[in-house]
Amino acid sequence: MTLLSVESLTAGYGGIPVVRDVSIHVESGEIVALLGANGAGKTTLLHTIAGLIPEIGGTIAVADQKVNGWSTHQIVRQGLSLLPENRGIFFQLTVAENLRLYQRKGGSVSVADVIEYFPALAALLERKAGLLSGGEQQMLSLACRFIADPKLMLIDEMSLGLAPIIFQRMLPVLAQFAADRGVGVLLVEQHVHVALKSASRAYVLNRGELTFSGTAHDLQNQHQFLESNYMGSAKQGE
Amino acid sequence: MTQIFLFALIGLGAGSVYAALGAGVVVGFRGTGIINFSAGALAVWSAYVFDELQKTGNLILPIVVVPHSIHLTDDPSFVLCLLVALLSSLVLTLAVHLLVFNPLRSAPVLARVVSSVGILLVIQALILMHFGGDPRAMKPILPNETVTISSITFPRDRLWLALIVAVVGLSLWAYLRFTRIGLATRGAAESESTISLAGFSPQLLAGLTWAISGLVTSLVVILAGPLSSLSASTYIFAIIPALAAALIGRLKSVSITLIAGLGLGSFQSVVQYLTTKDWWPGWARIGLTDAVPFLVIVVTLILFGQSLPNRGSLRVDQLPRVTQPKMQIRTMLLVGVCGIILMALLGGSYRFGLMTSLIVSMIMLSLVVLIGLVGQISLAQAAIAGTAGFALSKFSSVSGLNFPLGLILSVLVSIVVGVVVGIPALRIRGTQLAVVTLASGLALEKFVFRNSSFVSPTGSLISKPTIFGLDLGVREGRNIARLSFGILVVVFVTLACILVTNLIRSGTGRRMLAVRSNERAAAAVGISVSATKLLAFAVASGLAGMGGCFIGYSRGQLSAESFSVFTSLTFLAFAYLGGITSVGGALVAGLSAPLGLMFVVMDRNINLGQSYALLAGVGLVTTAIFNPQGVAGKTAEGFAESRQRKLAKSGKVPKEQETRQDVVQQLPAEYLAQPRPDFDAADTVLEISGLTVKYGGLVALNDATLSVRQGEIVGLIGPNGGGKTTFIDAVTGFTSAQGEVVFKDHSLRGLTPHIIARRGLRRTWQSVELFSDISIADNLLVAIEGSTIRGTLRDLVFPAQNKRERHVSQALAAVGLNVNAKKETSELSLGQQKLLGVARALVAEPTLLMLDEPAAGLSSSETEALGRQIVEISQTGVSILLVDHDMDLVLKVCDRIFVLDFGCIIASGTPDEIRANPAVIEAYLGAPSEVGS
Repeated sequence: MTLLSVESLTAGYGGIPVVRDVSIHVESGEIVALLGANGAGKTTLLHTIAGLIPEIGGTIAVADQKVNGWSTHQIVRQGLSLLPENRGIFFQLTVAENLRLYQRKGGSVSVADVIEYFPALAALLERKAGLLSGGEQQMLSLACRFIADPKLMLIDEMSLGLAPIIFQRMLPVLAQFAADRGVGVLLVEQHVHVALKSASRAYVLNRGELTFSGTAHDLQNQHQFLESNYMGSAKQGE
Repeated sequence: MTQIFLFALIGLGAGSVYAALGAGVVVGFRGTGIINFSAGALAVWSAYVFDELQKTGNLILPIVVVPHSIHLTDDPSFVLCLLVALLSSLVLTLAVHLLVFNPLRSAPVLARVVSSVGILLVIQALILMHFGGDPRAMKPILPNETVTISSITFPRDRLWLALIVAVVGLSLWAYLRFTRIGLATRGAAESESTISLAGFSPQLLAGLTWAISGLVTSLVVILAGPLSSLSASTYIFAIIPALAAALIGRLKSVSITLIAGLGLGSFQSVVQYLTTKDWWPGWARIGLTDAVPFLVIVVTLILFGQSLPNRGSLRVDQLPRVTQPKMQIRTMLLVGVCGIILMALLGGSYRFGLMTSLIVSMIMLSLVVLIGLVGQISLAQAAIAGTAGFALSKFSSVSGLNFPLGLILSVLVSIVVGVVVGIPALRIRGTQLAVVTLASGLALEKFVFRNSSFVSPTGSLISKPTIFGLDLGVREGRNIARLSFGILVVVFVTLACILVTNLIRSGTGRRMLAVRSNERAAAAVGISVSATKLLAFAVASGLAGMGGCFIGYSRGQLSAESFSVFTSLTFLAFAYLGGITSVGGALVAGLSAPLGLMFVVMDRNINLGQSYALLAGVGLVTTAIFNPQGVAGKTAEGFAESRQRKLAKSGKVPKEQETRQDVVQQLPAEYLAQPRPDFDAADTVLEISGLTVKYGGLVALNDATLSVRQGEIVGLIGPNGGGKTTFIDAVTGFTSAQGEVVFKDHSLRGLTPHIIARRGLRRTWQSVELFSDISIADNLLVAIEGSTIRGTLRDLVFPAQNKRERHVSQALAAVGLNVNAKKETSELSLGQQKLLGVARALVAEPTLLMLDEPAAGLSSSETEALGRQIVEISQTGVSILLVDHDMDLVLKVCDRIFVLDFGCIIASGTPDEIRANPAVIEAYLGAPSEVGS
C-alpha cells in the first residue's frame, strides 16, 4: 500500500520555493532515507507534508487520501506522525503525560507496548521530559510517534545533538516497529551511512531538487556523488 | 488587631473577584497566549444580564440597532436566571473567540492587546446603553447573615464566596492537571505546533479555554455582585489587581493566582482601614488601594519579568508598516495654513470641536511615536497628558507661570513621569508592558488626579494663555472658541507634526524602527535598545504632555475624568483607527475622537449618546483585524497604488536592476590563485580561551579556545547542534558565558551586545534578521550612525540628510549586491537578503566580522560569488570568522579551520589538514569504517 505519495511538490516560505517539483513515495513497511546537505530543503519538504506550511504547488496524499490544504492535526489523524527537529515533545510535561497526549484514541499501541520497545522509559514515566538526557528525550520522542499508532512516520534528524552511538542503537528499534506494524518511514538523517544501512530506498535532495532516487545499496556505492553532496565539490578533485 | 482581621475578611469579597478573574486570565493565556484585558468586562456583562433577568424577566443581548431585549419569563427563578446568564456569557465569549481572537492568532502581540482593549470598550459602551450608568443593587444570592468568629462579627457571604472561588479554582486546577484535554491545553501553551502534531486542533483548544475561563469568571462575578453594588467600571478595572495576581502566579499556576487574588483583596481592604487612622499621612489616603496592585505588578515584573513565559505560536505576522512621510515641511506648513483658514470659517461649537480634535492629535502623535515607531505599548498616555495638565494648573496658580514658561515646565514634568513609566519597558515587552502601563495609568488617576492633597479640591483652574499682552485665551464673554486660541493650537499641532515627521525620517527614527523590527539585530549593529526606547518614551510623553496642557487651556479647568484610564484606552482606539503608523493617522484620529470635529458634526445631527463609544470599540477591533495600518495608512496605500498604475500606463516603469549574475561575471575568476599572506600571531585581534556556555544542565560550549589574527579568515564548522551559533552568541554578548574573550587587547567580559558591536566586532545571523520595516539603504545607515543626545535633538528639528550614501553604495558593492537601495528588503531574494546582512555588518568598518551561515540557502553560483567577496573583504584588513555548512566554501576560502562537535573543539588546522582528519569526517558522515568500504 502506498502510504505517502507526493507528486510534483513545490514548497517554501512566503511564496518563495525552497523545494521544487519533487515527487516521492513511501510504501507500507519500508524505510526510505531522504538525504542532502543543510539547506537542501529536507525539513521544508517534511513540514509541508505534515501541513505545518502550505504547499505552493503539487499534490500530497497520505494513505491514499489527498491532504492538500488540511490542518496538521487532521493529517495526523489520517495516520501521519512527524518527529520534528525539536523532538516534538512537551518538555514541561512528564513522560507519562507526553505518551497520554500522543496516544491515539482507539489505537492499538499501549504504553506497555512502547515500553517493550524502550524498556528504559519504564523507570522514567513520572519524570518531566525537560529533565531527561538528550538520548532519553529522543527515546521518548520516538515512543510518542509509536503510541500514536501511525501508518506513516516522518523522522527529521533524529541524531541531532546525540552521540552517534546512542543514535545507532535507536535506529534498529525504529526499523523493528516499522516491520512489526507495516509502517512506512521517511527518514531524514545527517549520518548518511547509518541511515543507508537501515533504509531500503533513498532520495537525495540538492538545493531543493531531487538529484537521486534509487535503492540504498546503489547510493552507498556512489561515494563520490554522496560526499560531493555533503562535503562540497572540493572533495571531488582528489 | 481584631479590626485588621475583620477588614482582611471583608476584603475576601473583592479578593474572590480578583482571584477568579486572575485564574481566568491564566487559563486563557495558557490556552491561547492572549492576555485578555476584557475579562472583567465580559464577566460583569453576565452579572448585568443576570440582574436584569431576575428583576424584569428580560434577557438583554449585546447587540444594537435590532431589538436587544427579549422577554423570557414572568417568573424568573434563581436557577433559570443563573443558567441563562451563564449561557449568554458562553455565547459571548465564543463569539469573541471566533470573531476576534481566532483571526488574530498569528497577529503581533500589539494587535492582540489592542483588540482585547477594543472588546473592553465595546462591552463598556453596551452596558451604558442597555443598563445605564448608575450602580445597581443586586438581590442577595449567598447567605449573608452575620457570623461571629472570636468576637469579630461580619457577614458570612464573603466566606461563602471565598469558598466557592476555592472550589472552582481547585476544579480548574484538576481539569488542567488530570484530564486529557487539560493536559493538551498545557501542551499547547508550550508549543502549538507540537500539540497539532499530537493530533489536537489548537483552535479548538483555544475556544474551549475561553469558554471555561468565561464561565468561571462570570459565575464568580454574578455571585459577588450583591456584596457591593454592581458597577461597570469597578469590575472592568478589577482586571488590574487580577492581572497582578496572575503575574504572581507567573501566568502559569492557577492555585498561586487564586491565593494571590484573595490575599490582594484582603490587603487592599486592610490598607483602606489603615488610611482612616490618625497617624496615616493625609496625602496617602485617597487612591492608595489602586496604587497597591500597581506596585505589586511592578515588583513582580521586575523580579520575574524575564522568566515569564513567552508563549510561542505557529507563526507571527509583521507589525503594520510605517508610512515613511514623503511630505515636505512646506506641505505641512500649507496644511497648517489651511487649518487656520478652516478655524476662521467654522464658528462656535464646530470651531471648538476642531480645536479639541487638533489638541487630541498631539496625544495621538505620542502614540504614533511610541507604538507605531518603536512598538512599545502604553495604556497610560492620557495619564501622562494629565500629569502635564495638572502640573500646569499648579504652576499657573502657585507661581503664576503660565504661557509659555509654565507650558514648557509642565511638558518637562510629563517627560520625566513618562520616562519613569517607561522604565519597565527595558526589561519587559509586549503584553506585560501593556499591563504595567495600564496599572500605572490607573494609579496616577486615582492616587494623584483624584487626590485632593495633590490636586485642588475646588477644581484645577488654568488661566488663559497670553503672550506680550496678547490674549490667546479660548473664551471671551459668550464666545467659547476664540480664533486667536485656535491659531495658537494650529501652530503647536503643526510644530508637533513637523517634529514627528522629522523624527521618522531621521537616523533616530531609523534606530527606533530597527528596535521595533528586531531588538537583537538592533543591538548587533550597535544600537542601544534601552536608550532608544527611553528616548521614545520621552518624546511621546512630551507630545502627550503638550496635549494635556492644551486640554487645560481649552477647558480653563481640569477634572480627573479627562485623563482617566478609559480616556487612555479610547485614545488608543482612535489612534489605531486613524493609523498608528503615520502623522496623517494621528490627525485622522484627532478629527474622529470623542468631542472632536466629527463627533460634534454627528452629535448635532443625530443623537449619538453612547453609540460613539461603541463605534470606537468596534472600529478598534475591526481595524486591528482587517486593516492594521488604519484609515490613513490605507488611504496612502491607495494613492501609491494609483500612482503606480498611472506610471505603468505611461510606460514610465522604473527599469529593473541588473541581476546578480551580471555582477558575478564581472569579478575576477581566479581569486584563489592569489597567494594568502602569512599571518603573524602578534596581530591577533581576538583571543578566546576557555569559553564555556551552559543552558541548564546542557553544556552547549565546552572550554573553547580560539584566536583570529588581523586579515585572517577563520572557519568554524561542525555538525548541526555542535555549538557554532552558541559560540558566536557568547562572543558577541548575546549569551552569558564563562571564560575569557579578549578583543583588540581589551576584555569583552560583561559588555552588552551593542557596546561590543561598537567596538568593531560585528556579526550576521543565520536567519538574516534584517529590519523589514525600513529600506535597504536604511538597513545599512542604521548600522553606522552613532546616537548622541545632540544628534537626536537635531533630528527632531532639522533631520540631517544622508551624507553617508557613499558608505551605502560601497558596502553594497563590497558584497557584490547590485540593487536599488531604496527598495524594501522584502523585494530581495533570500540570497540577496543574506548578502545585505553581511553588508550591514561590514558597513560599520568592523575589525572582525562573524558570519553565521551566510551561504545557507544560496545557489551554487551565489555561494561561489560569496566566497570571492569574503576573500576580498579580508584583503582590506578585516578579520573574518566564518561559520558555514558548505564545506566546499569553507575549505576554499579559510586560512585556518576549527571543528566543533558537542560543544568541544575536536580539530583545528589548515584546510588540507582538516580535509585529511578522520575525526572530522566521522563527525560529518557518522561511521568512518563505511567511508572506505
